[in-house]
Amino acid sequence: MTLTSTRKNTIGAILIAVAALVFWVFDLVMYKQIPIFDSAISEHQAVLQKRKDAQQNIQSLYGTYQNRLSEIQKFLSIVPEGKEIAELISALETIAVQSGIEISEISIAEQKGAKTSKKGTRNVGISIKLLAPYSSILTFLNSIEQNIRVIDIQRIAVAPSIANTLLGIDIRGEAYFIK
Amino acid sequence: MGGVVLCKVYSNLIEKKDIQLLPETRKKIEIKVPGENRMLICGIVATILVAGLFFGLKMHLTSLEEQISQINQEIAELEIQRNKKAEKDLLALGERISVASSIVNDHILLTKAFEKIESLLSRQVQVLSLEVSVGSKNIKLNMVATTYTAIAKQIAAFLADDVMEDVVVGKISPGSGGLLEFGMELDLASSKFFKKE
Repeated sequence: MTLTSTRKNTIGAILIAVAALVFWVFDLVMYKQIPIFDSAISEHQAVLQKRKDAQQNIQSLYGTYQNRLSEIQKFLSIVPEGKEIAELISALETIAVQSGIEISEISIAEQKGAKTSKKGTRNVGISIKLLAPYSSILTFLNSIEQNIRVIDIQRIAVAPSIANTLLGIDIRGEAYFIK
Repeated sequence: MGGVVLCKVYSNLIEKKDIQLLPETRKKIEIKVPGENRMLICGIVATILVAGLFFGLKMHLTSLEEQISQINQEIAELEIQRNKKAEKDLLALGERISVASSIVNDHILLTKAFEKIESLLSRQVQVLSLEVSVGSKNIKLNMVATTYTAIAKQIAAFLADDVMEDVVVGKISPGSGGLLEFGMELDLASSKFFKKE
C-alpha cells in the first residue's frame, strides 16, 4: 500500500504534534526536575558528610575522654554528683591542719527548700568557727579558694577572742553539687 | 434512424476488436514530487528525538533517584553505627563542664578583700574586728586610731579607691589606752570585686 502525498503530510503533522506534546508534557517536566534532584543530592550528601564528621569527632572525643577519665573526674569534682559531705569535712579539716588552725565548730547541711540554681546546681551550706592568728586566717582562706571542690565564702567575721589571744573567726559559705 | 446506424457500427467495431473500452491490466503511474515526504520525515525524526530525549531523561532521573536512595541508605547505616553510650557520656560531660566553668568563673575570692584593706590601711589605724559580706557587698570594720587626723586620712584613703562606692563612719569615741575607737562601713561598687579578674 502506498501513501498519498496528503496522507504522508497528515501522518507527518500528527507525528510532529505528538512529539511536541510528549516534549511539553514529559520531557520538559523531567528536565525541570533535574536541578531539583541535583540540589536534593547535594543536601543529602552534605547531611551524610556532616554525620560522618560528627561520628568521627564523637569517636575521637570519646577516645580522649576514655584516656583522660581520671583527670576529667578530678576536674568534675569541682561540682560533684551528690552532696559528698564526708569528703567536704575531710577537705576542710586537711586545710585547717595545713594552715595551723583548729576548728572549734563546723556544720554542713544541704540548704532545705533551696531550688536548683540557674546553673543546674544545688548548694550545701557551710558554717565554720575557728580560733587562729591573723596570718593563719589568710592561709586558710587561700587554701579554701584553691580547693578543687569550689567553696564560695559568702561571709566572714573576725573578732578578738575573749578566752585567749587568738582571733575568733566565723565563716559562712557554700559548696555546690549536682543532683 | 441515425441511432440504429451508430449501434451497428459500434457492434461491428467490437466484433473486430478494433476498440478496447476497459484495459485488462491496471498500472499506476507514479509521479515523484520533490519534497513530498518531507513532512513525514520531519515527523518521524521529531518523534525519534523526543522519544530518545524522554528515555534519556528518564534514565538520568532514575540514576539520580538511585543516588539519593544510596545516600539515604548510607545515612541509615550511620544511624545504626552510632555509639549512643558515647554520645550520652559526652553530652553529660559537656553539661558538667559547662556548670563547672560557670562556677569557677563566679568563684568568690575573699582574700582579695583582706589584701585591699591591708593595702589601704594607715599605720596609725588598727583593726579590732571586721566582717566581710559578699551578698551585701560591704565590709564592716571596728578600728582604733591615734588621732582624728588619722581617722580622716583613713576615710580619704578608702574613698580614693575605685572599689569603694561609699564609706560610712560610725560613732568615734575615746577608748582604753587613749586611742579613738570607731566603726566604719565600706560599701563596695560591685560584687565583681570578689571574683577573679
